Amino acid sequence: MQLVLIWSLLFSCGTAVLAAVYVRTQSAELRGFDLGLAALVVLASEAMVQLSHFADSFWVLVVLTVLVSALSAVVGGLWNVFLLGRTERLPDPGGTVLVSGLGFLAVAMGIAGVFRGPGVEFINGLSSAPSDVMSAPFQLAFACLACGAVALVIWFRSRAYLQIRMLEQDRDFAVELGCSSKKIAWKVGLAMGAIAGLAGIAQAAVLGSSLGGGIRVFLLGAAAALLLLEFGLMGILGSAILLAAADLFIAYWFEPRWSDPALYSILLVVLLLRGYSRTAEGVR
Amino acid sequence: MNFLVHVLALSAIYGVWGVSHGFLARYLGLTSLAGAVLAGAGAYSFAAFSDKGQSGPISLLIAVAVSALLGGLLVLSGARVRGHNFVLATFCVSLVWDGLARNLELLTGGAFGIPGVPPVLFGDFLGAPLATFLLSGALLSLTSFLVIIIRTRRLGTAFALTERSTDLARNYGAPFRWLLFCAGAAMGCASGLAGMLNAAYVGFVGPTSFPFAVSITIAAIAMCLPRGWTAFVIALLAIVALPEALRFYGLSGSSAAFLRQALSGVVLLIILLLPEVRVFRRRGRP
Repeated sequence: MQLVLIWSLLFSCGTAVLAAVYVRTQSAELRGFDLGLAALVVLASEAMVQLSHFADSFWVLVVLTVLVSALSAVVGGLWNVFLLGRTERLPDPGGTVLVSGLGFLAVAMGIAGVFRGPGVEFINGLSSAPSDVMSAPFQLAFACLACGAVALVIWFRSRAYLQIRMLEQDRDFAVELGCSSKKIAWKVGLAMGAIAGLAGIAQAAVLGSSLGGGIRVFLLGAAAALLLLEFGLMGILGSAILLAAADLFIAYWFEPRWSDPALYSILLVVLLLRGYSRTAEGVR
Repeated sequence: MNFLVHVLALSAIYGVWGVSHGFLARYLGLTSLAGAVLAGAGAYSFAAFSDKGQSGPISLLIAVAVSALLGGLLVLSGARVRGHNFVLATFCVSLVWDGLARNLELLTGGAFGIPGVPPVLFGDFLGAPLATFLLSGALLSLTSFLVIIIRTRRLGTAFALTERSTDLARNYGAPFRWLLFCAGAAMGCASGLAGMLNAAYVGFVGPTSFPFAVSITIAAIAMCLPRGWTAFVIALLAIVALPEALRFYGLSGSSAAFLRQALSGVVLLIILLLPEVRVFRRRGRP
């Protein structure tokens, strides 16, 4: 029981870190919260569930995971290039980015809903209830999160990440130095798309694929990105641990049905307390 | 014929929600994703007080007051949280509301909702679809009229100043916090009334009546209003009337709802990212 709690904590924490890095990176590049994360999570988890019907062993599922995250990376790249091209010249693109992402999410959820209907679906070949100490769903989820961690390490060592950091700190100065968000749009989109896809597959493995699952991952990431904004990557990690612990505490010691509203309330309170001039870039 | 009236009634209800939220987008530049919250607050209050034995007019007044207060407070938060942070805040409010509607059994009936909502006024001798269409059509006409005439009044100027800058509004002597509250209360009032009409028409209110998808649809229709009335009507027909009409040809209710959601997304993407599409081109500021 205690081990399952630790796995659940690590799973929520890992998902929150991946999502928070997506939110921070995209808000530095696009100057707004990108709900494309939620759409990519829905698409990846749904694709994984549907493709898993053709899998007859765990290793085929691993191959499918690689395939789906590669597809998610391509979709993420296309979305990023398109969105940046359309919003780059706007004076305040934050609202446009967020509501366009909402449009993308609505299209993804609507199309998936028309074909499969409402409810939760689990990956075929994995037991639907993760009750063992390290059951197949957790194995697949942790494999995805480990791949995500490796992708993050590679990303943090890349030139594109340095350019994103410069854009995040002072956009005008970064442009003066030759940083252009347009030049790195493909790289950022591919990296973030892959990360979103891996988070979506991990989500589908443990919690199942539902149409609202993407929204949960996005809000977890946005809360983790905003809660300890001043402390950079350590802040993301710290707030992810705090949020995952709070989520688990409510789910196990109170009732699981209250964990989502509580999580959303935390983000709402953070937004209201920080005020209107605070953005995810950390600049007043 | 009855089916056509049903489609028109539903379109008129969504039209009221769209106009009331479009008013906020057009005059205050605030995009709210909490449309379902205000509509749901009105519907739930009306159903709960009717269920407790209150008379129709009393329940209606309480429901309007609840949704107006909620709308006022929601938009008042726009004085502190602006731009995309306001959108994100209302997004969170909508999801918190979704959770509360499912879990607060004492007030909302939980997953089972509140059945037996009193039927719509004049529904007995006109039939529910026609009575709903007439009432929601009247409400839509009234809200549209108010949105149009406000442009030429001093109130419209004060709203425009508040949209540009709260400091500017303060310098011109416009009480911007009061303005935000009043705009929100008006929006909540209209949304709550339309929510009540919807609940009375269906005879039931539950967690499936006002999910987050309804907020997306309302936002998509509302964002067409600053692009002109033609764009608004086209969006309303494409998003609401088309999926509902397809049910006549065998599309299931849940598939129609998902199709509505997908079409809302398409409209949002066209409005924001493809402004060269002629119908949805912006026509200048109020």
